[in-house]
Amino acid sequence: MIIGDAVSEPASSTGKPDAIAATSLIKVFGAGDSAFKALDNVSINIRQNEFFTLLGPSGCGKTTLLRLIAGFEQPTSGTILLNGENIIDLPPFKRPVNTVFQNYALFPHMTVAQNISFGLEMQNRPKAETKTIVDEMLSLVRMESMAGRRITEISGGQQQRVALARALAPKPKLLLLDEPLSALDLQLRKDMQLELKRLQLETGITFIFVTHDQEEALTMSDRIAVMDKGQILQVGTPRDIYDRPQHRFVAGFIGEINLVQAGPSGSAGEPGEYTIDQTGHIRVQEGKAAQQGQSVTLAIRPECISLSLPAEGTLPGTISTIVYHGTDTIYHYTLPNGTAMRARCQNSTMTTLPFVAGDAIGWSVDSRSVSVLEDK
Amino acid sequence: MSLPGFKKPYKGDARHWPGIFIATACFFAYVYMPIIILIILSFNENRTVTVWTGFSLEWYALAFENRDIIRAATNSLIIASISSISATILATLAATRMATDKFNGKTAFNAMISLPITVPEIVPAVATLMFFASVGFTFGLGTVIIGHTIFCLPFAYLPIRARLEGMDPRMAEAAADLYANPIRAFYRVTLPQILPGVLSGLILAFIISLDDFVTTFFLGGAGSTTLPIYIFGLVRTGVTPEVNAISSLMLLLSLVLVSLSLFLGREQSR
Amino acid sequence: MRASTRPLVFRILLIGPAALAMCLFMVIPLMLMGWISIQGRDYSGGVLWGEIGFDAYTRLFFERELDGTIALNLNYFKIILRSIWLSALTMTISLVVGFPVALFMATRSQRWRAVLIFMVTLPFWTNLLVRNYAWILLLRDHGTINNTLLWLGVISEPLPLLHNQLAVAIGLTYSFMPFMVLPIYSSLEKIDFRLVEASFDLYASRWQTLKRVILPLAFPGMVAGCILVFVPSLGSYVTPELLGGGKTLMIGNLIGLQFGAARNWPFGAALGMFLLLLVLIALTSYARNYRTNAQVGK
Repeated sequence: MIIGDAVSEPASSTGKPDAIAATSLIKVFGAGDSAFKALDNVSINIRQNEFFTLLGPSGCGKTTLLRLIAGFEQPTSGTILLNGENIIDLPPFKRPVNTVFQNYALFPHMTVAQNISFGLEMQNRPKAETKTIVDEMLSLVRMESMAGRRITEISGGQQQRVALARALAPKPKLLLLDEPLSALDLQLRKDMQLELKRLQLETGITFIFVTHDQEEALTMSDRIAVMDKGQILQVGTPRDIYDRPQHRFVAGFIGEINLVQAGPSGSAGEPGEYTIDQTGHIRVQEGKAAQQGQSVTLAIRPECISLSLPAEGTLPGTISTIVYHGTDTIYHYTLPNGTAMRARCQNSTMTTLPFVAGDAIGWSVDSRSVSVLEDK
Repeated sequence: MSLPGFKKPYKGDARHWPGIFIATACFFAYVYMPIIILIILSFNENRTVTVWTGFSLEWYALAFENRDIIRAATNSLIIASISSISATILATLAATRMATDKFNGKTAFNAMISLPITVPEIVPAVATLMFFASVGFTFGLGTVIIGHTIFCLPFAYLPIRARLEGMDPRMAEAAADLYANPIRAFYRVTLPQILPGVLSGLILAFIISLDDFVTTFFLGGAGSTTLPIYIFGLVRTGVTPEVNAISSLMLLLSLVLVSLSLFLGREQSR
Repeated sequence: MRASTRPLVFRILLIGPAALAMCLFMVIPLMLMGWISIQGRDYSGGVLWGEIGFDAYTRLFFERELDGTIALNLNYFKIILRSIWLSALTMTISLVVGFPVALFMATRSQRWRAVLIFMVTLPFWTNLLVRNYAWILLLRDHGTINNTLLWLGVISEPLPLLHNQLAVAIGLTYSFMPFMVLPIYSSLEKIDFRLVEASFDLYASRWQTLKRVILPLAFPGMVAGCILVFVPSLGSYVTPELLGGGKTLMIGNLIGLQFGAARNWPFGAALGMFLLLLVLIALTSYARNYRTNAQVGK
């Protein structure tokens, strides 16, 4: 190993190098005026045995990052280390990394078993070993009875399992999954989410999962990286990302959220207190002290707001619309300064809130549930 | 399934237009009548050819005994086999890259390979004639085979490239992802999927070569007489029943081959 | 970088052979033809290299008398005009007949369409020579048509059907008709027939619908079909040779003659260049049409 690599290698808790350590990745497609920067200086470390998710809207660069790791594209600049070794010059067929493609890309002229054994054959593994692994994989994804079927003769969900088995069979160091659940219907998707989590725990392989579905990301991942416009905005556990978004984009992309403009508190100097124009003061637990005269954006999840009759210690608002959603009800209300807000209240609570449109209400929020966003 | 056009049409039906059924029926009569009459007359026992007197296989028997016809048929098969196979190999190799890569000169290459179907055949035929003569080639089977290979290239190339372009580009990536180097990926993943297309292209090139007259006529020499050249010679001197017989046989062979090729093409498009 | 140079090597190895073959046996011969067209004529058959001149081109319109004077001679030019006229006629007949056929095909069910396409394509793949020969059987003095008419008593003498322009036009139409039907069909097939219903709904008659909705949408296919019929007709060799007799020569036959009996290579080459030029004009007009249509389509 060369010295330069050793420097960029952070000592992780297990003492082993990170599964993926990518540094300053830039990928530009095209040239001149039509050039498009798909990845803009992306650096990321993915730990061993992690279920890591790249989350973002289409065109945010998540698939490009995945394709760079798989080797289908070459980065314009930057390095990628796999278990501490530079893989940037290796073609995809020499990288110990396997991919589950978005539409599975199963070979239509082969059977289920032939698809699964393909990678093993290409690695020139002994026949007996190949057969053992194929059987093992078939039972891992519960497709034993389908071994001889053609790809065109099995359902979408079954194709999904075969694609997984095919990618897992060579026991890769890293499994890349490019929106693998997007073609399935809702119920099947829920089942496969659990299935994927089980496979990841059973095999102990590091998974990098690409999706634009925030719910999928939140339920399955150990850590999530949220991407937009070729950049990684925030990396953290699902709870981090949901409860403490750092960017306006992250806050808006994941779940519903209220964004409120606030200024520094009148007493200037009390950290963690902000003033909402014409409305009142609001406390933030880990708030950064707002600089003199500068306003910030506060993010508050609708389910964290409690509504009551106007009272001491609550902030004022006026109900505009009430929308019934079965398990819960969403109250749309406006602040005296005109900001539109939403509060989500579970319908199973004992007391039904007796409001109608036009009523004046009071609202409050726990200081731990308010995030201060970087304006970006 | 009802016969097309035989339902009493509703006046507001967007898919019914008055007269188009009759026009189509006339069109197909025009297209198939001459062929059918030729085949019927080839079984006519009468020597005057156009008056039907009775059924006979005599002219087929005569044709099969004619040494010149046998030699011409052999030449046709040799030329068609070699040229169609070489054209298909060249076309397949080129198509694998042309379908996926982007590079300068791609359009130029596509235009060049399509020249034989954009330019009237007579022009490249005489141009190649002058070229071979200037270089000092001896006209014969060799020159005809070269001419046919070039002429057949686009017929093999275009369907194969179309098939490759229609293939999921992730297939090649999936093969590479599963440790197949480019050569093994081609043999194990790409080729099996395009094979029906390649075979269909091969058969079309074979028919094109087998039926060709103009290129063979200008590039041929001693000993390279093919069936179309032989038939042409006979037709110019007069209509004979043997010509009807070989012509019918050639028609039949083309029909069988093209049906096979279109069938293969349909199979793979499923 | 190793991984990024590999595709280039593959590209050269795989595309190279076909490109080389096409260059050597197609592009170079065509260039050589251009070069020979401005060389001197060797009367024993061949070329006097280096005697550069445009004799071969002037021969299209003028003739050098024995005493060296040059006189206007439009015999060759008439052949060229006849070729263009016959090709245009073929194109027009094909368009008029081909459009309803294509419309019929496009309005059938999926299953019937496949059958009809097969039936239209099939004759194209059979031997051109044989297909033209079949017309000799029909058209000649004691051919099927004349015999039938005589038997019916419609005529008392056989009609002279063979060896004239009509016979050539019939043969050319017969040979190249699929090229007209298929492109028109493929543009008609893409039409959403709810557009036609919308047009009816908005009070357009059948005729108005045809003119204002269907024809404009089928136009690109019609232009493509016209080019695909016109170009091979213009350069045809076999059909005029068999059905036209000696009197109805077209450019293709004139070119052929220069490499046979007439033994005038530079003139043959010049005619070849002239034919190439005509084809080029036809193709570029198509390309321009195609582009304007694409713009309209936006």
